Amino acid sequence: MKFKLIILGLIFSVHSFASDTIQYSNNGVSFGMGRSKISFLSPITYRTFTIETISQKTKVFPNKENIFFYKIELGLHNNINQNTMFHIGDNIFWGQYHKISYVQNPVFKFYAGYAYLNNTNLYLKPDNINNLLYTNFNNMAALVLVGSKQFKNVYLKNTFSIPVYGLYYGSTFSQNLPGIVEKESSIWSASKLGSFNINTQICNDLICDFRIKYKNKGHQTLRVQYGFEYAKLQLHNNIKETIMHQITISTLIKKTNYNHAPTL
Amino acid sequence: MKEEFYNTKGNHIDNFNLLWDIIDESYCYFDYKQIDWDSIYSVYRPQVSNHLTKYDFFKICGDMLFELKDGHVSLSSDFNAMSYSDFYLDYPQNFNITIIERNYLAKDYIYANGIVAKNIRNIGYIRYGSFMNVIKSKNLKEAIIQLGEIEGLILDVRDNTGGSIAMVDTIVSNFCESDIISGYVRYKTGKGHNDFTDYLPNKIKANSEPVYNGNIVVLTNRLVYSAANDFVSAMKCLDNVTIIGDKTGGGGGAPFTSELYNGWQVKYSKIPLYDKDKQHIEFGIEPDIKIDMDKEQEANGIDSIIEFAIDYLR
Repeated sequence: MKFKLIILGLIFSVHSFASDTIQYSNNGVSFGMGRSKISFLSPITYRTFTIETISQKTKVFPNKENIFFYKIELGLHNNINQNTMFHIGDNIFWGQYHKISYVQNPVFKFYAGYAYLNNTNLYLKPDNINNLLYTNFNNMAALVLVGSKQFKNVYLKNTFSIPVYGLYYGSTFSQNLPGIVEKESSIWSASKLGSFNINTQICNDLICDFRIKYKNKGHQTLRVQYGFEYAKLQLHNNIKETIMHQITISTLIKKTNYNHAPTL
Repeated sequence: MKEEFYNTKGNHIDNFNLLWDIIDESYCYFDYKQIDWDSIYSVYRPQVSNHLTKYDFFKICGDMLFELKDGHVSLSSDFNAMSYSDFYLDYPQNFNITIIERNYLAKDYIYANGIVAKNIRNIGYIRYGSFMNVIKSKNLKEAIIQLGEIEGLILDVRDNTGGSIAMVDTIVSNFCESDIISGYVRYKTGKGHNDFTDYLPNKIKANSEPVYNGNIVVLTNRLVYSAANDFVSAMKCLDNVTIIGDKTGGGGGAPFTSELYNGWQVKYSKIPLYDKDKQHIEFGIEPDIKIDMDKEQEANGIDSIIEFAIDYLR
């Protein structure tokens, strides 16, 4: 009897959880351009072009929002002399934002929260000797500020995040010296804990969700996102500095209670 | 528009300053070679103006880099390239590939990946011409097996100008009875001329059993450079090895690559390697037995260094 009550209680709790939450996901593709300087590979600033795939899940509660996304990125870098670098990377983001009730007004809603960011990159400059590869692996805790506004068929949201502390790993000396680098410069000894003195980074994402009505298929939501990111990682006497502008286009897929008319 | 395009590549003064900075912040032998890089700037900078032709500007940059007296330092553009070569041009060649190919290897030699081998009068002869050739322990083992019964082994690395330093460990590990510390390395940790890590040992792990544990001779000349120079340094750690020939050319600093605004590529030594006694090997390694090729015998198709090594091993 006690067991049945527990099961019923769980079912009820799940139902009540589901009734006031919204869940949706969006998958899309992103194109970016900007510039980057990886001092380990070259002292010259390169133009940078990227293409990314993004997979994001969002849970909206009455007073908070959870977001998780995963990006895989391919990048091409070149300069005026047609020298080329390549990179492959990924980004993992998990964030939770809470409604700031005392600053709410009819026009905007504001949220503040925290996030975990993971950023991994492998850069390749094939014509270099001994310094042809640069890798970085960053784990960061970030502060996040969100503002949003709902129009009739358009939902606007701006997310600003700034990493405040992290564990950073970057290439230290070189590759191609086996027996030495592997032993003396392990990922642990090459990692550093720190704040803005190691990594200065700001990210801003402006999201526009458009509700589109189809003749036969009902409604769909198209998300257009403009992202700006500045990052300067100073680690082991090497500087990696990037400025990127990115446009992401994705469609929102209904999971729970999402009606293609954002109700945040 | 043309002017704007030109400016993105930097003018001559910008490029000169960048070149000077790259070397200043990263080159590893200023103190060892007692080079005053600031005074070199004051000599060459006044020679540079934005009105120079690119050919004249290239020559000034090349002359400045020559001051480093380093075969790993080079500057290359799409119209010219410079590199320091005094470390071998000022000395006898002590090697003649034609004599090796025609009179010692002839037509019936063993070729195992990048290794050429032959039994010459019951002495094993192995030539490894470049550390750019990636070989495996198996290649070395197979080559030695096919040499049959031998009284000693010659490893000829003359005219080997280096390549992958990983090959040094691969080859040396096959001749070790036990693990060895073949040398040390110090990494550049900052922009200062003396910003280095401590001496970090390079440990070579012995293979389960050496492919050959008899007497070994390593043949050297002035064109043994870079990874080949490091190979000689590592082989010198083994008791059964004798170095015969001329002093090696050196090249003890692992080279790195960078570039200027105008697209010219610059290469320089950044990571100094040391021998087992923590001594620099940048200016070469002295052989145990110094011998030059006999010109008269060379004219008759005889490599007197190989002949000396054969007699030494008997």
